[in-house]
Amino acid sequence: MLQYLQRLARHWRRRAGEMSNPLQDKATRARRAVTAQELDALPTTASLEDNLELLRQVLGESSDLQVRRLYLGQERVLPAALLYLESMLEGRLLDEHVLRPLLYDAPVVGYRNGSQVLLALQRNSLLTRSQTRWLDQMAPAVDELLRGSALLLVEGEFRLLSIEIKGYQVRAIQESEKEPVVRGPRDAFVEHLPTNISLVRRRIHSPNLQVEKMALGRVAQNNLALLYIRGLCSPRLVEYVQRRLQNITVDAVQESFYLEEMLQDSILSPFPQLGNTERPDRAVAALLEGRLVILTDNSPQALIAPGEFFSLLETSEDYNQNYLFATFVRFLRYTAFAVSLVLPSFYIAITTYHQEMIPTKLLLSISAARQGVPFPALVEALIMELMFEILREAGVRLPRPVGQAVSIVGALVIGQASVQAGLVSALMVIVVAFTGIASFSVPHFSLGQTVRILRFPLMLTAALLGLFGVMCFILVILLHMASLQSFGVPYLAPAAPLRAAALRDVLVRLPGSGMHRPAGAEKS
Amino acid sequence: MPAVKLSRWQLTALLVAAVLPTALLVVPASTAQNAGNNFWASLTIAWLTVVVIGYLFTAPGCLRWIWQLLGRENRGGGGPGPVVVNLGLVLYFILSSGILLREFVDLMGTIYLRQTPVWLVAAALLVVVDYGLRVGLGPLARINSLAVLSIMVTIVLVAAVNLRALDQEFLQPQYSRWPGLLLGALVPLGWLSETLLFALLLGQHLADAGQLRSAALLALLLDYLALLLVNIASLGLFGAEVCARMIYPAFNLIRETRLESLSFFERTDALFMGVWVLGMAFKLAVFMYCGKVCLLRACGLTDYRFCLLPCAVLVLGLALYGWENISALLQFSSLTVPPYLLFYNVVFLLAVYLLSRLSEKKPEG
Repeated sequence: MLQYLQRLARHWRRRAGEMSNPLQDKATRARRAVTAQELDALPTTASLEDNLELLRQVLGESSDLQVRRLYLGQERVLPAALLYLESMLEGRLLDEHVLRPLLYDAPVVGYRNGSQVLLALQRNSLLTRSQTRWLDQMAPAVDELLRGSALLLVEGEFRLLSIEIKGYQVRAIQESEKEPVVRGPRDAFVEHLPTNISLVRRRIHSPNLQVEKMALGRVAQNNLALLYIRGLCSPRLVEYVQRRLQNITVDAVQESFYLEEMLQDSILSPFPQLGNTERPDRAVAALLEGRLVILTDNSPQALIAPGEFFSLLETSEDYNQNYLFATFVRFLRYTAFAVSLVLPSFYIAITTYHQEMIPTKLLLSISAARQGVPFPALVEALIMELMFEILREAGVRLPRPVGQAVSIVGALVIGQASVQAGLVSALMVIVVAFTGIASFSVPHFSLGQTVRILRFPLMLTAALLGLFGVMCFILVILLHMASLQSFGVPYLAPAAPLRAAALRDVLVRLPGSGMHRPAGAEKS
Repeated sequence: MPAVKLSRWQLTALLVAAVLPTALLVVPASTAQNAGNNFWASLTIAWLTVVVIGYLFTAPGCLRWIWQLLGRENRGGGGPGPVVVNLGLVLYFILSSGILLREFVDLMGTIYLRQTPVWLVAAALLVVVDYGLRVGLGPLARINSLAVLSIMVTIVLVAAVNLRALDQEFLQPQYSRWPGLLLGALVPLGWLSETLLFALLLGQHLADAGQLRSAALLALLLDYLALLLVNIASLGLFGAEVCARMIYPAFNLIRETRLESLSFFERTDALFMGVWVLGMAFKLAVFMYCGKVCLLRACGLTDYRFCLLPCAVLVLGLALYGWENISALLQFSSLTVPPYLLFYNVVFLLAVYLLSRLSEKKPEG
């Protein structure tokens, strides 16, 4: 039996030896991808040439992959090679902090033999870069190379030295375009994860600020960071988000919305269930409220979890101005939200079904304005709303100077021309324009989009069933919102379920400190 | 079916929603008819009576026996007792839902949506209720607690706005009508007694079962105060005799309500209608929810979502074809409603209690 098993083992070893290595075959390599399992299985060897060949096989024919061969020491030299992607690092740093110490400084300080230079490298006493790591596996070495490090391979050393020397271009920190403020910090997140983390770090000098990095994306392995403050953020929330992130299957995370969509508890809901911001001060405020912030590489948007409805209607400026004015503005914002959702449908319902509500004088002027308009109020409203949406979309897609001109000219000319042509009444233009302006007051862009979408079915129900239909649809929306949860927190908290004490930072903005309420404190 | 935990306020609000939207319509005319200016005394008698019965029913000793038969958990097939009791309640809730829906659509069709087909209005409300039941009692209770707040605020607002217009003569006691007090108390007693049945059914979802009694009594107090305010405003404005001839004095009251600052609006009742629609939707939802829960318990099922559509179709059919017109329904209601309500909400519960005690089983806990 033992002999049979030994024979079987020999047979399978032989078969394995006969099988071609997919990475060795150039034709195959060009066609098929290197899997993570294959990469993990690749061993490093003490032979410089073997390691180089293996790395070349893994990385393919990338033209930006550079190999700089060199010899360590001046007597009894050791062959070595530096591998790097020239697009990902800065040549000046490589020259100053790697090549110069290896080739010039080492002999000067007395390391004349190659083995002495290697020993100094192993002791981390030669190179002048802060982040260097010896790696004994090929997979992490490739990962570091792809993220902008240089790899030093030395003959006789089976480990690879990774030298962090990133030098690619990133956008400079600029003022936030999406969330401008009159008073408050101006800086905004950029597309570079370490920069974004630094923007948060320099605002919270606390050992309790935790930054957990992870990579996501089957193909791209994009970096992201989970930020939270120990002691303020619920450990259950952290664990829950970590678990949800680990379960996400995606090829690449090109923008934080990729994550936002997949992290939502109810993916089919039109309502955003996570907050997002490009302002570091707002992210910090969220952290101080016990929320969790997710920063993604390549995205200037930070995600905030949980993201209940009322938190999406807050702005960082609420806390940067007088409490009375902040409360007043908050009320205005809530009113604007309601107006942007229901004003056109109210207009349709009242003019179609409940004319008795309208004062006689106003009714007469509405009738006069609608004289000659061939369409019912619903069609009139749909024409104007669709026109408004098209103008808005065109304004966003066109280059900025042209886009602004198109929006303004389009709105003025088309609105005026439509009224003169008798397609729509002047009052409808006012209603749609006011609705559009009100929708700009919603600070959270995704929530604004939700309102824009919901406005259309609301108009249809208003045309079908008047104010009763509007109430029914609003009730459905409210029930839907009440059924949502954002990371375990009821979406409408603290209004539903009602927690009067927590409403102090929702309906009003009280003066003084102690405004921060821990997210997740609300229970259903 | 997921376990739903309600807070005390959520349960109170559900109990208020189960009574107030229709009681507001029916009670003023009925008390005006029978008790005249002494409506407040009839209302108070009705309220105190229900409070006493409610106090007794929600006593822990009594509650245990009733829950034994009504079924705290879905145990299905635990003998014929629970099946019969729950099926009896299913019948009550389906029939009541049909009446409610018909009242609602007729009112809407008569006053606001004259050109819209009645079936469309009824179907729209049922769709909303159906959606509410689909998302579950938790979200329903959360939004309802806000809706009840807005209803209470509206009632106080309406009463306050009309305060100066009230005729004191209409509110002075009429000694000649004292004999009609008890008759006048009958209708409010019937409506208020609905709180008891719903408290016992929905109270099983309460996070702290010990708060059931206080929730029920608070709901009764809110119902009483709301009815009293609407009665004072209606009777003070129109007088008992005119009120007695009106179908729904509360709607006339709202129609007459003028806000000084909004005086350019000639009629604001459509806005109040919006609040009332909310209340009716929740009332119907509570009825249909309880009906489905009883159906589950009778049949030993675990989830009611599969029977939402058939039940909605049944209620719609009953509402549209059960009565020829609103007059027939009102005639039917005036003859049957107080005894019907009192039977199910008091006598039936008492029978359940006695039946449970007479059975051999010892209650749990």
